[in-house]
Amino acid sequence: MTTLVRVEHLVKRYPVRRRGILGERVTGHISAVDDVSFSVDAGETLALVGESGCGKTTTARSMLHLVPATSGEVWFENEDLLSVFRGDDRAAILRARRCLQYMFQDPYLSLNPRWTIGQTLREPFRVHRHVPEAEWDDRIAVLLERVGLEAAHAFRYPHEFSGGQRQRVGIARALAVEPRFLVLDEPVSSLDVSVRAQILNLLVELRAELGLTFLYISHDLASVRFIAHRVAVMYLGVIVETANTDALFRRPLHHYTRALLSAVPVPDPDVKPTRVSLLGEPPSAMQVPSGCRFHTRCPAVLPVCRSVPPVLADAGDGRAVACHNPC
Amino acid sequence: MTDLLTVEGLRVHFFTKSGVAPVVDGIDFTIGPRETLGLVGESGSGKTMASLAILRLVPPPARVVGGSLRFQDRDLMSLDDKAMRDLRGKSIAMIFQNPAYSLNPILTIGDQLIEILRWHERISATAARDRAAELLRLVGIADPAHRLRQFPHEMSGGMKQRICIARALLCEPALILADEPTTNLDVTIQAQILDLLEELRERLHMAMLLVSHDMGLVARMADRITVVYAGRTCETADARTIFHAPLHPYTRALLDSVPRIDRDYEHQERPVLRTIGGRIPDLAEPPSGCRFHPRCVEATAECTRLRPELFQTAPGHFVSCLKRGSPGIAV
Repeated sequence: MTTLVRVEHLVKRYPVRRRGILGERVTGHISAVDDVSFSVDAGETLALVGESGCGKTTTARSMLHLVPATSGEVWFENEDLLSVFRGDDRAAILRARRCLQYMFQDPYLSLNPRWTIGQTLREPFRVHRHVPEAEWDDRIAVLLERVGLEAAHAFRYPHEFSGGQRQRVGIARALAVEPRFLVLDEPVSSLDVSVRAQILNLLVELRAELGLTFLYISHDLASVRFIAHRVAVMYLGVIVETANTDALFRRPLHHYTRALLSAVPVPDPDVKPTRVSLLGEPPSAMQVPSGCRFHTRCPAVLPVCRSVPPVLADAGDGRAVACHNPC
Repeated sequence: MTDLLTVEGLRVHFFTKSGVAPVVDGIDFTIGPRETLGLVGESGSGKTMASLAILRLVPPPARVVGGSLRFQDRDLMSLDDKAMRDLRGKSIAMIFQNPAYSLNPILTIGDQLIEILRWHERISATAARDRAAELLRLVGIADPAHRLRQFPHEMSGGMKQRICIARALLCEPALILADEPTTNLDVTIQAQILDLLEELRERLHMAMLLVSHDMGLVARMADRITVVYAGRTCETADARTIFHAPLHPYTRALLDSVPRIDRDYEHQERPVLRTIGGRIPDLAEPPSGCRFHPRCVEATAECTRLRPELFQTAPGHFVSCLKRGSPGIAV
């Protein structure tokens, strides 16, 4: 497999400002993403999982320059994307944007309520002009049918659609520029169980038929097991473990991963999983613990964990874990 | 065993300008003492309305229009408002879905807890404060005296949900109604809250109605399960039967459509989940006959005409499906 997207040492820091009588001053920084590196092969689906505030969405948004990264590099094949996005060559930026698309979490917020679906879907064509204008309407009809809607839906407004249908429109909009890489940010978490299954199936189908590569962001671990080939687990802005999906779910190496997986209830009353309970709640990103960030909640903490941050090291079998005392 | 709560033929309608929507149209279930019943359904199934109806808290423009609600041999429908107020929080308490919205943002935690105690019991302010502190300790909150002086915005979501649980437990109710108690929480915090609810349930001998769309959560917590769809009960049975030998086509489809964390998918080139075709009906115009028929793989012509009644197929196993022997009523 060839590597399609490579993220290297990505950092995103937000300044914390305090307003006093002498105006605003910066009193500290929050590291939302702190030195994150990973790569995604062509055709592969990598899931980025973790609890709220762990930096998974910020990582993805920084990759596409939707929020400007503090430092780090993002490579798409042989192109340094972040320098393209930071530059002022508009043609190059549009070309890069056509390679990677972002699909937003909330189908109720990501569509303009005053625009028909057709208007919303014309927008990518209008911006990118990668197709002659005469073909736009045909393309839109094809897209709608591709995601399981009907061509006639182009004349309707978002409020006429259910959550699942809006999410299909979101997928169609992302596909309009024929991207090769799609970031899916919690695409099914606001949907009902029966609709969730339909959207997951659609994503798998599109992946196979269009040869798409996904970065799938979710806190819903069951859907991750279903759709992802590989998983990266984040905690407080860093990746703590990466592995192939089945290996990770069968035998997690990091204590955080283990606790996370064991916390998910299994839909079968006869399965009584060995539960690993974590004490307390994730610390605030403003006061990141010294050493290993997880040491305040870790059941297997060693003295070294309090002072030395573990590095994400190869653990064989294509896995990597950042832990001094892995499971 | 006499039941603690019996809900029979509950009907709640929404009265809007454009017409009447029967959002709950025949939900039945019972809860025995110390039992946990899982009430499962998707959005629009009427599960939240049913739980609000038990406390007579159905908000306008919705109204309870039929059915019977019996709690400890009292008819909840005919109680006067005073008796109902005395019952809420004392005999039946509720834990709401979103802890952030169910706490008053301008009162301290202490004020909110003490108010409930002093409403229901003759108790001095100091004694009430001590009881509140004791309950915060019970739900795993460190330094309760300090927390009682704090406001909701000073706490995390998990902490707020613990406060809401403490509030529900103040008067040691016989029945707790928990409506999606962990939906807005992260999984590790969800696990902590579920552990806590399980432990308290054992210790305080409470019965619980657990309303949820999450099959995993219900599998873990419930003794018996009632599955509802579009305002009607589909199936009721003990938890193992629901998961291992479900009878209603909707229950089966719902279980099949959930991705499983304990199953390998990757080795399959293109994994496929079984889905339920179509979508949840608009209850302003509910489907005729069986409400699940437009999405049901087993539906026949009679399913579009006849409304299936709940029917007992085995002791404790009730199903409403014409294909499983339910009698049908022409509508």
